[in-house]
Amino acid sequence: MKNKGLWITLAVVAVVVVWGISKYNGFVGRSEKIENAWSQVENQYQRRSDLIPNLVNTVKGYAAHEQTTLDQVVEARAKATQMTLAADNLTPEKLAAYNKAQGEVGSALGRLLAISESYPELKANQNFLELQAQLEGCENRIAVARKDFNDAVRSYNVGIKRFPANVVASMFGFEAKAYFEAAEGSEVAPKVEF
Amino acid sequence: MKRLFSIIALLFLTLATALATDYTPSTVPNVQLGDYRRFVTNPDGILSDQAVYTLDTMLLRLKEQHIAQVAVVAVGSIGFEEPRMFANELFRLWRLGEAEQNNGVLVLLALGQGAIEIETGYGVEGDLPDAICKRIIENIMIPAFRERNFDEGMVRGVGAMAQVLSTRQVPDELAAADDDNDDLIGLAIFIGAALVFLGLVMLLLVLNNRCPKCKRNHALLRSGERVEVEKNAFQRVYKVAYKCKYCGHIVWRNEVESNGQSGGFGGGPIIGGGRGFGGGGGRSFGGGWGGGFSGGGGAGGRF
Repeated sequence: MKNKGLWITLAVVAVVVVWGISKYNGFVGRSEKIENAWSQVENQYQRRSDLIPNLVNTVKGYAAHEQTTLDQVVEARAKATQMTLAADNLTPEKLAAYNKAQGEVGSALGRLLAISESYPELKANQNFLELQAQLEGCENRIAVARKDFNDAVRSYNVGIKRFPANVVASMFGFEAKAYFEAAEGSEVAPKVEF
Repeated sequence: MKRLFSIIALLFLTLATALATDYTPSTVPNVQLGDYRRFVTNPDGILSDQAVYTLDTMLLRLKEQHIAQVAVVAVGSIGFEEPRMFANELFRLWRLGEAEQNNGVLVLLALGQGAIEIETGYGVEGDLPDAICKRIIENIMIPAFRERNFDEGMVRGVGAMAQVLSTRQVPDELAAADDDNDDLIGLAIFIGAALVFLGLVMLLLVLNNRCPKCKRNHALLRSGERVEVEKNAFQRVYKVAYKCKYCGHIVWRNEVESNGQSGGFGGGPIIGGGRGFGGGGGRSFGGGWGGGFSGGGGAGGRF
């Protein structure tokens, strides 16, 4: 009779352990998804960044005396490229700083495209049109990558906060991760009108 | 009082129609699932049946040659959703493109929003880069759409896209614009495109009757033999044998026959012997998209 109680306890413990392991693995999987989504975000920002030298050179040929705007773009880009974030170290502060730096690139580009409106020859330049289309594609991809990243974070955060799985999460030190907040000017893709 | 009444009634009516016609990604009918030869979702009749047929024919060829899985969606309104995001969500919901190649493309026309979007899967971003999508939209589609000529814009636009995808070359129509672009060249290009188009359609018809073994065209004939493979309350599915008249090779194709009252589908004008190649009538098996993914590539425009 004494044995029966022991067996029941053991069975319950075994079930709880198995459940804990499966939850643990689920958290690991979800946080890996966040890392993937993050690398997409960085890729897409990099892609935009790669377009900038070419764009600046093209604009320079037609609108040389818009030097300040051009410099702002180059500067913002330089600042943003210095900043790379490891996927396992995405603290809210660092993410916000990254977001701000990229947002500044976005708004500098927006101003650049805005001034190009007043240069008909530039607007007719095939190279410029091409770059504009590519830039627009980049902004779309960035928007999608950011949304995917936030979705991945949301799914992870909900997972570790929900009872009773949150017990496992706190036991193994899974912490809530930061979202991409919309920074001024960065959520809104620079409007590229033809 | 009466006036107030009619105003309220009118308000409700507009609200009702607005609700009825605003699509969300999950309410857009996925025609490919019902019939593997259909690629064009046209619930509001924005495109003519003829244009839909032309597009379907072209896109079936692209799919069967594993070049790309292209879906065309033309709807009245998508409400207040951003067309770009709508296209991306719909693309992912339908999982356009073969899973390994990610070669899906979605062309979305939202009439109420005046929006045209081309969303490309990861795998076709190389062959169909954003800049080319943009040119297709700006040079071909939008000028036609602005004149409410949706058939021409869509057929020529998707045609150009198909050409880029299958030849991996940019057609002259989309080449960088020269300054001395006079009307004659424009006309020549238009005729050229039309000819290429016609050629594509004819080639498809020929290929459909081509014997896979001896490679001769116009070879397959329906040989009365057929096997029932599935039967339910609404339809019977048969495997029908097509025999090559030269080498005797047999090709099996699925055909569906509905029970009882047939029709109900059909409807539009029938060109070149009906939708079903190889005769037989009736609808055929549903297809499906392959599980592709998109990261937001492509381009968009407003008209």
